[in-house]
Amino acid sequence: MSAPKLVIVGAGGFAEIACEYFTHDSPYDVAAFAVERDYLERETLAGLPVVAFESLEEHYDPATHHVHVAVTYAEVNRARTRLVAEAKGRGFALASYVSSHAFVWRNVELGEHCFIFENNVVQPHVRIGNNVVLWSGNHIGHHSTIGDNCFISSHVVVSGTVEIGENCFLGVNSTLVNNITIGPDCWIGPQVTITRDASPGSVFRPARSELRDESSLELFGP
Amino acid sequence: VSASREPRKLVLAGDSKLAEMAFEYFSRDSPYEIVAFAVEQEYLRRDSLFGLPVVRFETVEERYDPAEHDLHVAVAYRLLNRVRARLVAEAKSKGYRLASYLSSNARVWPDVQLGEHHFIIEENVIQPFVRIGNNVVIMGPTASATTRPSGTTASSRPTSSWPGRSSWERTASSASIRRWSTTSRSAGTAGSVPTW
Repeated sequence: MSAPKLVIVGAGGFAEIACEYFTHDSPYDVAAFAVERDYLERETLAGLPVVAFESLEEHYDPATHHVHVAVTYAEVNRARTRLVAEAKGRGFALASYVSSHAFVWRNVELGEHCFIFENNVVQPHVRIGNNVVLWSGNHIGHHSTIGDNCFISSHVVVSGTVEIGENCFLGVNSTLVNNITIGPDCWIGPQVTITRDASPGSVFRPARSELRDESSLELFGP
Repeated sequence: VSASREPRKLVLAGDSKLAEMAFEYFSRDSPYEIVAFAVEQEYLRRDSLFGLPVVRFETVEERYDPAEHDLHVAVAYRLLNRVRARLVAEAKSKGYRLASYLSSNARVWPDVQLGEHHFIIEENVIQPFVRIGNNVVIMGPTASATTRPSGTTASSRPTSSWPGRSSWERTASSASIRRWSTTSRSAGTAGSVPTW
């Protein structure tokens, strides 16, 4: 059986990374990249063609090609969500990637079109919705639920029995204690610790770090 | 303890979400066979969980002979760990041997001193010269992954969501969760300690 063929939507940093991971750690062969016409700035990427997303099916048959949208969290995940819906509506099967270096317990429920990087730990009884990105090294604690279209950036701690609504963004090193509910469309900045429920659409900015007046050369010598 | 290949029988004290987790981990990644849950009378709300009986902790030894069963207390940190510590002491005084869980995906240096009755889950890194007392629970490691050697973590994929290819599947199965070897140390201790 030949490898399934994949078109990656996007041509940015995430798309380049997705091409690496799908090529070297999944059953897929990447055939091309697709970008919306307004953003079409080049003809090739990583030695593969870059085509217009609007006319993708003219070049790549939905019957034989899967699609993964490698777009990050622009417009609080709405850009990725829209492109996924369009690709699905046009008949493409959606591809997921789960790193061979991720720890995903056997009974985890995983939706379609997810991208799970290396060193994630997804514990027993976790439910993950559709179109969820777990960048590297997160801890998703037991019995927690992650809603559709969330982007969990890196080294985030989601403790046990946490409910996260759809479309949320969780910044690097953010921490959610157990037994709380995060409403949909929340933006949680880097290093923020959340210890109680968050209303839909909440925005949490991180504390500012202190900039001292002295330079390091003054403190430690030239 | 014995050269027998029969799995040791295990009673889990507790029926909360932590007990559900312990059920998963002991069932899939330890030499134990779980036969029952035991809960104190005051908290006894049901007869069965996952098809296994839930019995009174106070009289658990009448149905599950301490000579033939090990016990693990799957209780979290209520009253700043005092509830778990009390139940562990009571189980021990009933004559049960205490069972520990050490994930096959944790990395524990071989000379680390581990006490009895611990629960250490995946991805923890425990370095040389560490000493860990009795009745210690170490849950998920947090952000620091810097000491992890590359390429050594294992994977357990949800197979239903993943298209297969034979060459890839070989790779995946060789990287999937290792079962403890039946020739490893006794079931009551740490079992096989993965080494770097």
